[in-house]
Amino acid sequence: MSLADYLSLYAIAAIWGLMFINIFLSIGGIIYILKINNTDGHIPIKEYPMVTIMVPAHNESIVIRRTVLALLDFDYPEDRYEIIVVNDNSTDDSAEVLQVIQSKNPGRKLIVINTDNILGGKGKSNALNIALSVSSGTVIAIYDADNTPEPNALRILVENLMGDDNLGAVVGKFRTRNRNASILTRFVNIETLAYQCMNQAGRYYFFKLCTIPGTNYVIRRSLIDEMGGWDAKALSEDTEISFRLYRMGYYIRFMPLAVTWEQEPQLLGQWFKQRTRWAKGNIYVLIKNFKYAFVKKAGPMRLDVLYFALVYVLMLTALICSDAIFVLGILGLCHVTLAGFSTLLWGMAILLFVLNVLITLAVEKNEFNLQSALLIVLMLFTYSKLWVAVVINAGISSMQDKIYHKEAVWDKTERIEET
Amino acid sequence: MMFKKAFFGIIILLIFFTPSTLVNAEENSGIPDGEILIIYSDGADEDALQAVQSIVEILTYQSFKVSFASASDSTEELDRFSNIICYQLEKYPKELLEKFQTLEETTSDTTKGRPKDFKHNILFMGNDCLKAYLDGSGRNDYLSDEMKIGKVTYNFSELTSKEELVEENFFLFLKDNLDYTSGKIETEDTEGYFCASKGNITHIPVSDLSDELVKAAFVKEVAAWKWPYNGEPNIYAQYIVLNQVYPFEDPDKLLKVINYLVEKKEPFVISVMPIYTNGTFPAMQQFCEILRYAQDNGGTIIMHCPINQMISFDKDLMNKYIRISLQIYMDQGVYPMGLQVPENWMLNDDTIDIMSHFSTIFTTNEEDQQIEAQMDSNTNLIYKDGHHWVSSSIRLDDTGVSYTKVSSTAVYLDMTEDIPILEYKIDVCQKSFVPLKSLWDIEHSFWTDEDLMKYSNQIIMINGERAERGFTPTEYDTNYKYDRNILNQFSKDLSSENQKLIIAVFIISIIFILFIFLSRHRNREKFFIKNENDEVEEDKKDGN
Repeated sequence: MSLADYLSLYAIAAIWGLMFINIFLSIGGIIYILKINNTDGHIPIKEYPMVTIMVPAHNESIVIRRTVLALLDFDYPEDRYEIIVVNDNSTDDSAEVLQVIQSKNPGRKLIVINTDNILGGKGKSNALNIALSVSSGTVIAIYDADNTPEPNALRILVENLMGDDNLGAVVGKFRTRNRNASILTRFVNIETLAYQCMNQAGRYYFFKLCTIPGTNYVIRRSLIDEMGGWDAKALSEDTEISFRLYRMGYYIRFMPLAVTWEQEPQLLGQWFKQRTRWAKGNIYVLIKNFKYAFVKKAGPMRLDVLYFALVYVLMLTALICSDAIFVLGILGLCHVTLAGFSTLLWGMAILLFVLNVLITLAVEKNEFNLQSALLIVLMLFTYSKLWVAVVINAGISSMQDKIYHKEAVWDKTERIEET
Repeated sequence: MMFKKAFFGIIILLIFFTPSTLVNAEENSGIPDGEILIIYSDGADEDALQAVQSIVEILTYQSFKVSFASASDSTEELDRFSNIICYQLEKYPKELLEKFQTLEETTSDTTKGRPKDFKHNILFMGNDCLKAYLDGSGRNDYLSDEMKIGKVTYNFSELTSKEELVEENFFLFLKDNLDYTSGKIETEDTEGYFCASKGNITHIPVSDLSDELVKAAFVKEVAAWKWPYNGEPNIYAQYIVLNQVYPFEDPDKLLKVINYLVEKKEPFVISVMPIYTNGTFPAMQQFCEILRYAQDNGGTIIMHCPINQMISFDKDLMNKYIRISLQIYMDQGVYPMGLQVPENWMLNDDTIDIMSHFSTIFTTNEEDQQIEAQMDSNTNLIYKDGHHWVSSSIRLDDTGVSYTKVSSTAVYLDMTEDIPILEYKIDVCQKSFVPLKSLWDIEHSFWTDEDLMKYSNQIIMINGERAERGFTPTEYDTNYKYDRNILNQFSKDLSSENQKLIIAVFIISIIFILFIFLSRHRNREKFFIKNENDEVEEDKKDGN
């Protein structure tokens, strides 16, 4: 057997192994979502707790107005929630935009904290910690500055959180607001539904395991205090918080009926920067938490650590091997001699990939159609390949940060004016 | 003061000249002993050196120990050699001609016909040097023709005559009382010989060894020149070699050609390509079964050396590949008797070392691009290993049949050609004046790090144990398990795993499709299908 044979074998085993894991999660996910879709998501509670909605915002004047108005429009009792927008070292007119909203809604608890480059400008975790210091809620809700949550989202999230004392947090679903803006946002929309929503649902259904996505979630204030706030070094503060909650013995629920719509990057450069930041954050969390993969008391979180490790190590290397062998094979520079190594294997993998994604679109309104199916195939050969570049870039950047002792920098996603 | 300057000047001159003199002396004494010395021009160009290599190879095939050096390096060494070939000498020290004269004077001519008992025999190939020599010694027993083009006619046997046009700067022919002549060269004005001897001087006027006819004629003439007795030198056979036979190829064609040879009762050789893995696959077993059938019916197997297996030449790796491949074949009852190599393997220390493991070597006209010829040894090192050499026949026609019988030759039949063409070539070989021979009639041996093979008196011994080469049909395992070597537990044949995978994919696809239908139905119920009761309730809510 040649080196190409060994690498092919490795790639096949890794890709098919992860494919089956995803299929397994998708089946759990669809069962869970169908079950939840039979309900309205609400759980009656006697008294609604005080909620602090935190919105970290850095130069978000293009989108912040729409977000704050959506937050003010929640069907949650008006006197039981406050909104804290941390206008974090912004150089645009966010402060003026927020001031106008404040003046137009004098009876509402809308707090705007304008920070300078000394107090603020140090990333999302730092902004959240600032908001935490002035918050009065016993439940904290987090929304990104580009979100427009549906009016019932907060109530559903809080009701679910208060319904179970073992719950540390409840996360909702996020959808792509600008999905028709470009082909990239179409891909992001599909990816969001398939690999964030359905995957979350599957993990929750089978293992009561869920990862906070960074927005549209509620968490108990007491737990945040116990943790000492958000880890300012973490670029993926959401994943970091999730792991800490599980280590504390709580679990996180996924509630897909609490929906928020967010703006996704429309241009490749923006997308690449955002995803690199996410990947760097996940690598940081993976390295920091990998030791817990073998600690029993870490609970189901161990599975998530292993899953992250599989994706960022196994999947990445397998895809690199597979693509390299494919390209070298076309150039006639390498030849795989494995018996049975045929296009049938790749054909079946593509079929399962398409079906796996289609199943997630089938549960959504206006998402399941032939165009989407074609987009999924196109996505496999274009968008999915970019993921490899993102992770490699994030890996190199993380190493550089480590070698040169650089601090993690919050590389903000640029917003685009929507019509 | 003047004395001091002169003294230092002498010292400096001594320092300047002494080392180079010493180096020259070392180089001169560096020409190894040999039966034949080949002298070439000082500053000979690439083509001339290529021709010298070719002469060295030709003489190696004829089992002569050869030395070669430039004219300057050879001048003081001539006395040590009884047989000297002067190849296309154009630049040389003047002393060389004086030396030739001395050598001629020390010879004695007492026999009639082609004299054989000279102390020194000189073969001039080309005309410049011989003309200068004859002129310098005041002789005019030659014809000089300024024409540049001539037609060579040469008879390899009574019935086979070949013609070819050749080009030289001018032609020179010895005349008067020639002891020996052979072949013919005709120019527009003159008719002369291809080869002639007069006293201890033998002359071949043409020197272009890239011309196949000139090369073949030279092979014959040099053997006769070196033959110490009257009459023709010993006769060697030609071997029919089925070349470029790859494992796993469709064996039907190979079997048809073998059967044709068996029907004709002609001995033959099959040169198989090496194989490094999957030696027990049914296709390989079937291929080897045909080889065993051939072994049992007059056919002998040799193995081609590994090619295109490494980025740069690696002797150890090459030995390893050869060992693995030989083991695979021997495990299947196929016993290669020799190794087939590109011709330039004869001129490199590493490849010579590899070949030293085999007593029988077949060479081809291929060139291994990873091998560099090493001319600095000034001798055919390989001769000392005493191989049985079989060279590629010199192609004088489309069939490739051999026209020389002074050393063993191989007629390579390209197995990619159509069967009628192969059969035609076999027929031509059968009718050739050069006899065919079986490799089973001579002794062979090889050794690797793990195996020692010896063949003599129809008995093959592998590591001291007798191996049977008789043919028995094989029963194939129709349910063969394609287990891989190192990663047996992981790297099972994927095609059998694929069956399970297809079933799994089918089941998953069905489940997914069912879920898709269910989800769509639920969505439709939720967003589009309304029953009457729902509508009534909605109306109530709206207050209608």
